[in-house]
Amino acid sequence: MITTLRICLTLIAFGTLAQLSAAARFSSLQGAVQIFDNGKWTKATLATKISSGVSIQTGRESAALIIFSRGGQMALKSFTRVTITDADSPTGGTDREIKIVQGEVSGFVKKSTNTPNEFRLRTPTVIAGVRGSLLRGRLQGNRFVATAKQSAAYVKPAPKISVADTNTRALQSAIAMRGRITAQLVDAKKILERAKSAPAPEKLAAAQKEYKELSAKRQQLADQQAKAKNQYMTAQRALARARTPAAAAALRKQMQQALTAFKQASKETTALTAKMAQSKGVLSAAARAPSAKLVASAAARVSAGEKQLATLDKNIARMQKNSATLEVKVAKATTATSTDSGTVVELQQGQTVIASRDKVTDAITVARISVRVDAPKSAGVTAGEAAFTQQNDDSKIGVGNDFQQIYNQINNVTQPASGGLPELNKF
Amino acid sequence: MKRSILTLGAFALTLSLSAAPKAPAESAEGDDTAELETLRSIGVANMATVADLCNLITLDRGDFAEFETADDRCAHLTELNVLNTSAVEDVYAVPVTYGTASKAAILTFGLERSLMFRLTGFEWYAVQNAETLQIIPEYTKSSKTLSGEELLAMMGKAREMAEEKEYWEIERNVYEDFGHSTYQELEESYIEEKASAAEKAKGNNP
Repeated sequence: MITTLRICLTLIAFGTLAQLSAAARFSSLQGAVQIFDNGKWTKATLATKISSGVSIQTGRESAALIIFSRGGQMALKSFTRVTITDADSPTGGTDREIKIVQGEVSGFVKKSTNTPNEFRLRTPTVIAGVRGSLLRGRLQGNRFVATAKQSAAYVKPAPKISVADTNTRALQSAIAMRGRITAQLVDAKKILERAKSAPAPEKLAAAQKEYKELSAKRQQLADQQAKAKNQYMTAQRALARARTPAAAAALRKQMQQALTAFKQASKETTALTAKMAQSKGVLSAAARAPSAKLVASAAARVSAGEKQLATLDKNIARMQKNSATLEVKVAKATTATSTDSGTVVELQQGQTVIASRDKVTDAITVARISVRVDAPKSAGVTAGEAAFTQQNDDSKIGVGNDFQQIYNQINNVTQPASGGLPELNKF
Repeated sequence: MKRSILTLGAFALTLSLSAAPKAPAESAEGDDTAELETLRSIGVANMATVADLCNLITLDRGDFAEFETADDRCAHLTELNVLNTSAVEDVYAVPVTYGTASKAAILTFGLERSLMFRLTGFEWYAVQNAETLQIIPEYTKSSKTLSGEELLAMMGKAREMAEEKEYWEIERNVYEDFGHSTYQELEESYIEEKASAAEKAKGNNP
């Protein structure tokens, strides 16, 4: 009996620890959030465990807050896609790297003196990192904007992407391509269905004729209703002034007749409306009927798409089979990047670095550094505004820019640069 | 005896797993899988099509799910004067150009329009306008086609610019993303959470 209890207690402890040993979890979720784990995209819930190597994507008006079990939090904004690497640092701290594919991420790790906690945001060419405190990064296409929010940070060139990472990306791309072909197939099939259900020319002509006739008849009925209503009201007014009982009785009879006519017209209108809905259905089906060219291309897409899908499915199944081993490789490969050295640009607290992917060369990673201050440095034009207004964009924007420059010169623009570049809005 | 021990053990394990702290149930929400799948499928296109652009714009506008096909979405956008696709017979085959995409991005996100673009509405002026707004690379040809990734990047930059415009002169509190209003609060909650996690681990250790 005691042995049984011991076994039970051990298993209970094991089960509870298994729950607590997850790498990270979602603290809050908003809108559409999906996670790529075990070779497929699934909907993220608050119960979803986030392990190393997973990708997370958010949609429109969506957000996610992730809490790491060994400390640190990460906030994802809408239209963001990232891959998480959560590795143990050999020095005892956390060494976390987030690969941004697109969107905006804010990361927080506690500053520690004895165990360095590192948080890095990685793009294909640039890494922005912070050893404790808060860092925000935004990547749209070739433009990466990193802001050291709470303390100093750094920016350096990113080492080459590992083979394992490339494989994971290849799997995600293959799945996305399958989604693309499937969506096109579904659309093509719907187009073909619509083409089939489109009415024949004779039927369409008959429906058009019928609809026209019914419309005219309904108008007549509406006129009749209005006339009956008018008669009723007139009789009612006359009744109030009637002096003899015979006259009153005649008026009441008149009112009764008008009411019957009104009701009859209403009944006929209801029947007509139902008939008209049928004709309108035929007409709208004809209006939605796809063009011959669209139908032909949809048919071609259906036959080609099914073949492509079969090939893709085979490739995806093969890649998914190896996805578990790939993830392990990713974790190991990215841990090694922490020892990689490169040209490091120090980023002071409150500073923002804008790095363009196409302009990145070997040594110089930062295309432009702009200091975003809370208030303008002087009473006149701030550095950002000066850079903006001094651009010679005459050949690009046309007459509008000339007017804007004149306007700026006259009004001596004093907008603070804290919220972004000055706009042409005032013009 | 052995069998009963095993049964009891399995029961205990199941009980412990089910009794472990679980996150509260998520609020009811619609299936947004199609939206995210569409975003990913645009990203892998070597050449973005008009259908991709229609899908992306309706995704941003929030009326993506209201229509069955990309063709319907394009027709809807034509009605709204955001993107004129009336001349395009097969939206799935016609590649989208920088001119079309720039015009659509500026109109969708209500970005600043140059005088000439306002007056003419020409795609060429839309491209010049988009270059100045830095949502597309400099010296881009209006008739140049773009990949799905480029289309996503362009629309992303336009979206970002629209957000900046919305928050003009309004300081955005980054700590709100973490559910706090200051960095100090964020740090305090971190310390508390660390302490409670350590306590839990200590308590559960047999």
